[in-house]
Amino acid sequence: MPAPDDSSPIRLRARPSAQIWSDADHADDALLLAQSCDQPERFAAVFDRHGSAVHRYLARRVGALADDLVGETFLAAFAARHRYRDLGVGVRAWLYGIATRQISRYARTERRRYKLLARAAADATEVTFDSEALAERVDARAVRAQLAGALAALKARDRDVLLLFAWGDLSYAEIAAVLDIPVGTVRSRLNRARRLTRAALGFVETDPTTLEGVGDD
Amino acid sequence: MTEEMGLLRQYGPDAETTSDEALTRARMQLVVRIGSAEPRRHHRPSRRVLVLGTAGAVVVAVGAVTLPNVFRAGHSPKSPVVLADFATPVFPLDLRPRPAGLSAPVFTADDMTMLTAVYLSQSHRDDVDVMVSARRPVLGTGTPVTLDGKPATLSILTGGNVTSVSLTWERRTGQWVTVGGAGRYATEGALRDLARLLVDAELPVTLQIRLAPQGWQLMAFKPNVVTLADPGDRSRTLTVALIDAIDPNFAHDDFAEGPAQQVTVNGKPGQLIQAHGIWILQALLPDGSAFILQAPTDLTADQVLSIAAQVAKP
Repeated sequence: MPAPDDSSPIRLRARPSAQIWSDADHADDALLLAQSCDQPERFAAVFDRHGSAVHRYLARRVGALADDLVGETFLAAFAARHRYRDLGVGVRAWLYGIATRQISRYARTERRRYKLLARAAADATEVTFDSEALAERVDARAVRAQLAGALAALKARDRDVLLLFAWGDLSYAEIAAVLDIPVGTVRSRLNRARRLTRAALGFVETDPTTLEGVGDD
Repeated sequence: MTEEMGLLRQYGPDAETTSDEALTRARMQLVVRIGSAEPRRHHRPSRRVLVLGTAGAVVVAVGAVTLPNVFRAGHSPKSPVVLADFATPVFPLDLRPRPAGLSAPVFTADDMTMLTAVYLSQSHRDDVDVMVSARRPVLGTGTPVTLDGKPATLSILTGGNVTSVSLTWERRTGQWVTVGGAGRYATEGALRDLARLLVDAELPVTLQIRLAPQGWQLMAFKPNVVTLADPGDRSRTLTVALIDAIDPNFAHDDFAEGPAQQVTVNGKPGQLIQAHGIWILQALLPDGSAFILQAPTDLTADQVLSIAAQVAKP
């Protein structure tokens, strides 16, 4: 698939390096959590390291409600810190999983937020992507409206998997672990969510295997 | 990276600017909770009796917290559900007169070994917490002091740009109190002044549950949310939450299994649906406030409605 040319206003950026954690970072976090079991005060450092990121993830999903849910997420994480080691995932992934569980109680709020965002740009020009060539200029606002509409239309459980993958940068295995579902279920939900998102964006699927190998990029 | 994923990352709904105040509050909540935590000694939960209020209301709580649906310690056979009268605990202290700039307390508990009254400040920087527990909380490093002739501990927790100071003592036998403050209350002198304002009280939490499955215990609550749990299987929970207004699309939610039942609660119309082993009821209190009740489907629909009819504000 050809990359967009430099004149396109939409540039698909590489994953921000700040979201790529080194093995050393993971080890430090895991050590902090382990220490906090017997030294509870150590857990505050977990908040200092990950509070902003978790809050932003929550805010992208439920808006202002994130201000309450970030506190509840870390309180829940603190209460469950003894069980972190059993999951075998990075600390941030674990926290995103707990945050996602908090969000599940507000599925309707989240969906309403996306619908409002989609309607806010309802007068934007709808554009169609040809999956074989990104040649036309794209109205960024229209893309945002289409994406918001797509997210609103997803089932909550599919949306959870999609956004943990897209915004949380979790792997299939991490999503499976933090949501306590089989990896195969993660794959099927992600494929379904991606298919619906592509449809909302107007992608024309010329290759039935387009969605195979998700997670390999 | 596939196209739609790249677009979702870059152009998906974004977050408003992160609120420093929100993060500060969240951290303070965590710091307060950390201050009362006990390090793990063993894997098995221990039973504690928490005495609340001068009326001697007793709540038996399980010390270890299990998060339902995420981290399960294990399952136990479900017992038949029988409903019984339930008394929501009260908070036994209050600051009187309440210092200027502090709001009326809101209450929270994440497990029933410790209840917290939070006095939010108008400045958003000078919040005060009062925690009550039946046992001496683990304080980590602290400075021994005295308060009204009794031994007390002064603790300071600092992280990032947030400092929280707390004063802990046994106010009376079996009533351990921790007063915590931030901003202008993050000093020993300010905490001593607050401690002198504490009086006995019986402050109910915002939401009252008066009928519940027999033996179930209060697991957690926030100002407008209450959760009860089966002590034998803490994945079985009952939650009641106030909501802003009746959702007209409630019956069309994508996770509902089957059509909604139209029911009557408090003489007013409500809707009841099933979703993945959970009853979800949307109804109105006698004063017209809307609420949601969630309970496992091993309760009958009639039991759900009976519980809902006994929900009240204080």
